[in-house]
Amino acid sequence: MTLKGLRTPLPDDTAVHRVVEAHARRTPLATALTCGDEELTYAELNARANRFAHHLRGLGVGRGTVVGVCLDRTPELMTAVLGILKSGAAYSPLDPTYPRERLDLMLANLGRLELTVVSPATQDLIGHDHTKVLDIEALAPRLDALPAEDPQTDVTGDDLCYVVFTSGSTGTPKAVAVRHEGWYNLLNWLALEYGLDERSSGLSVSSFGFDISQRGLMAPLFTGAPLHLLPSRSFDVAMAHRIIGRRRVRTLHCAPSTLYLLAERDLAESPRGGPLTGVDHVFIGGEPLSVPRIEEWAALEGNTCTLLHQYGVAECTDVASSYALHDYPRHRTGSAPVGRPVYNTEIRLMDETDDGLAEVPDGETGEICISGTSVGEGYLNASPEDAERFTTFDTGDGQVRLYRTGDRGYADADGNLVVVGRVDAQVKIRGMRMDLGDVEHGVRASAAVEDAVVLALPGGDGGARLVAFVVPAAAPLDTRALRAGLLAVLPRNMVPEQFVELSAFPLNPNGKIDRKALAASAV
Amino acid sequence: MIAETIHGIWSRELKLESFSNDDDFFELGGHSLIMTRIQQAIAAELGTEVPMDELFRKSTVAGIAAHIEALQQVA
Repeated sequence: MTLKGLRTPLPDDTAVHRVVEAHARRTPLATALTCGDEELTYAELNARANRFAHHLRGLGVGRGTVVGVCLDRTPELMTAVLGILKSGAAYSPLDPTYPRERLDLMLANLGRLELTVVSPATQDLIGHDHTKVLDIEALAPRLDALPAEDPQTDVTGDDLCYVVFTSGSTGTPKAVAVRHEGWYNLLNWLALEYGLDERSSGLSVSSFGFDISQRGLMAPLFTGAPLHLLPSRSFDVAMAHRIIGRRRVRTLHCAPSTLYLLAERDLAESPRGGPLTGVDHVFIGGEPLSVPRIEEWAALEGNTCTLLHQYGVAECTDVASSYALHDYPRHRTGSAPVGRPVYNTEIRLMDETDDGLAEVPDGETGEICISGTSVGEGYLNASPEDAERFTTFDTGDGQVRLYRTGDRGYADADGNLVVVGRVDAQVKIRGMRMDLGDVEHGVRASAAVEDAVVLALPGGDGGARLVAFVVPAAAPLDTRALRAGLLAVLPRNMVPEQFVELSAFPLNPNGKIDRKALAASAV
Repeated sequence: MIAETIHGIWSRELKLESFSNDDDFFELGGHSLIMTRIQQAIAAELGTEVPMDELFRKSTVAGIAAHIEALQQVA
C-alpha cells in the first residue's frame, strides 16, 4: 500500500534563508518579529542576521559545519538561527529547559560542531568540554561594524540546515540532520496547501529542541508574515493566550497537549470562545490527539479555526502527512487520521517478509515507511542498528531511499493514513518522543538502583505517564533523592512520574520480565 | 497565609499530603501540566498571575509565596 503526495517541482535554489532575504528586499518595512515590546522589521532582522553571519564566517564557520544554539525565545534567537544558515552552516537547537548534563551529552554527539551560541541567561547550561561558546549579547557592539549585506555563499538544497536530537535506546541522544531541500519542501507545501501568506502570522510556543519548533519559527518568515515569540522559557498558557489575542495570531504549530490548555483557556474566557477561535490554522502533531478534549471548543459556533492533525518524524523533516479535522464526532473514539503525504513524499505500509521488506495489501496494517524529498540526511552519530532505519527499496521504477519509522499504521477507505502504535519501545510524553530504554538507562545509572524497568502507562488526563519499577540497591528506596538525581541528567518529560519499589521483577514462563504483570501492579 | 493557600493548591494538584514549604516541585513529582493548573489556581484564589518561568524558577511553596508577597507590597 502506497500513499503518494502531490509531485510539485521545487525551484533550483531551495536554501531556506534566501526566501527570507527575498522578503527583506520586497517588504523591508513589514514586521518580521515581535517579542514582548520589541519589534523588528524584515530589513532589521535580515541586517542583524547578516552581520552575525559575517562574524561567523570570520571564525571559520561555513558549509559543512554545525553551530549549536542555546538561547531563550528572544530576538537574538532568530538572529542566530538565520545568521548561521546565512553563513552556510547548519544550526542545532539546544533546549535551555534541559539539564546541563543532557546538553553536554548532545554536544558530545554533534560531529562537525564549530561553536555554540549562548546568552548570559543560558551560558551556565553549556559546558566547555565539547564546544567553544559565543555570547551573542556581548558580541552586539562589535557586530555594528560588520556589513549588513546578505553574505554570498554557495549553499545548495543538499546542505544541512538543522540538526535536532531524539532519544535513543542506549541513553545517548541521536543527532538527526535535515537538508535545506527537505525543509524548503515542507515550508513550501504548508504555504501552498493552506494558503499561507504575509498575513499568516505565527506564535512560537513549543520547546526549542523539538523539530516542530523549527517549523513554527521559520514558517511565518518563509511566507513574509510576522513571527511572534512567547517571551517565556517554559510554555505559559496565560501569556500565550494573551498574545494570540493582542497580536491577532493566525497560525500555531504545537503538540495536542498545548492546544488542550489553550482551548480550555479560551472557553474559560468566554463560553462563546475567545481569540483562539480566530486563528486560521493550528497544526498539531507529536502525539496522538484526543478529540473529546477539544471537541467542545472546536464545535463552537463561529469558530473559524481549522485543526490540522499531522504525522511525521524528525528523520524525515518533521511532517510526513496532514489531515484537516472537521467531523469531530466521528473521531471521538479511536485514532483520528493523519491524512495524506506532504508534496514530493510517499508513505508505504510495509512488513518484513522472507524476501525482505514488502508492501502490505490495501487496508492492512504495516510499518510506516517514508521516501521522497522529506527523507533527511540521517544520523550524525548513529549506531549500526539506528543507521539501518535508513534503507533502500526497489519500487519497480527504481531504487528509493526509505526511512523505516517504527510506527505502525494503515490507510482507511478514504486513503488517509491512520497511526496505530509503535513496533518498538518508543513513547510520547507531553509531546516529547523518547525511547523507554533511554529512561531505563538513566534510572539504572543511579547508585541507589539495582535494576529498573520503565513503562508508559495511561495517565489521568488522557495522555501517558512514565512509571519506573525499581529494585533498589538497598531498601527502602529514597524516591525523592532518585528523582532529584534524574532531574540533573534527563529532560523533565523523561523523568518518571511514579516509582514502584520491588524486591524482584515478576517473570513470565520464558524467564523474561513480565511487563504486563508490572503494568497491572501500578495503580 | 499566602504560603498556606499555595501549600493547599500544591497538595491538591500533586495529590500529596505531607511535604514542606521548602520541598522542590520537581522532586515531588511535578511536571509542566501540573504547574499550569497550579498557575490557574493561584490566579483564581489569590488574584495574582505568576508567570510560569517564575513558578519554575522558585519551584518551592515558600519561594512562590515570597514572590507574591513582594508583588503585593509593590502594588
